[in-house]
Amino acid sequence: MVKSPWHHLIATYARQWLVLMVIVGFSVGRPALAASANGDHHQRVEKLAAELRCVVCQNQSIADSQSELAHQLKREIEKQIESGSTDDQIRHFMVERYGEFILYRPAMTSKNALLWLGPLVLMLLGAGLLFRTWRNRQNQPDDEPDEINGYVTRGDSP
Amino acid sequence: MKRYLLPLALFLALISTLALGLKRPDPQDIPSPLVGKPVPSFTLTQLNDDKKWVKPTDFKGKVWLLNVWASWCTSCRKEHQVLVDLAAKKLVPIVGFNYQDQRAAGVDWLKQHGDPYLVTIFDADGQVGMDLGIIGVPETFVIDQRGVIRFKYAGPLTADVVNNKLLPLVRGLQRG
Repeated sequence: MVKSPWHHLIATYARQWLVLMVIVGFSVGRPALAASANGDHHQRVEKLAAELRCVVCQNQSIADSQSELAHQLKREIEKQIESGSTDDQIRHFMVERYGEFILYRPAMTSKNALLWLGPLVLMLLGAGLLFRTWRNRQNQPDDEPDEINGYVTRGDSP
Repeated sequence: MKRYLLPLALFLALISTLALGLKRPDPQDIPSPLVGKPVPSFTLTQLNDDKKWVKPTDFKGKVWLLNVWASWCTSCRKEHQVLVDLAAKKLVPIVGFNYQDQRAAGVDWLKQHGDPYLVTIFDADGQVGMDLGIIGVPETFVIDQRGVIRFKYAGPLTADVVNNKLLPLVRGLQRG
């Protein structure tokens, strides 16, 4: 069985690839972690506001929208941060009044598990099908078309 | 032939899902998270009298409508006659909620267009409006005898909505 050239490439550089991913992960992840622990109110307001959908003009975040409601909600976020609420408490406040729809990143619940996992499941299904097709091809007695008397025959028929 | 059935089925499933997704989401269809919950408590002044207070518990024991409006809201003008007509039928009390408005402007507006309300609550800064999850104006809530919000309609009311959506619900609730 002939292994595809990708196998060799990945096998050789797997370790380096892993190290690279870890480095990238940390350099992107750590600043985000630091910002939320940071006491800087303005940053927190902007970050929260960017995560919330302006339910009036629905394709903008509260941070971007110029609608009256967006301004009002942004002021409310500021007020709550100043009085010591956590990010989660503020998000909960918004969802209680305006629904899950206000979050750009809805929490993973049993109701939207299908939405979150659906693409992944489909991708795995597709990968599985792909793998099976690839393996079937590999298992054919002969991958090369046979030439008999100038006619090309194949192992399987449609 | 059988080989193509599975991919075809998957393709059709994908196409129909995408086709469904093409339907633009109607903001009316966003379910209000407040339906099924009690009206948030608050104490505000009446529009016509800043010395008199009103709170939602004042209306316990009957089914009532809460209609959110403002003098600056043009759609409110469209629905107002519907409300005036409904109030004349005396089927259900309608409480007004004047949202983010000026007191004088609100009072004038009612004088000009008619006052179908049992009383109008004055929420100048919209703080209580936020607790009610008000997204736009006008909005109308149906609230039952225990003070639980049973339905919210966003947008200007029409006779059709009143007759086919609000009144059946109100009657059902009134029967207990």
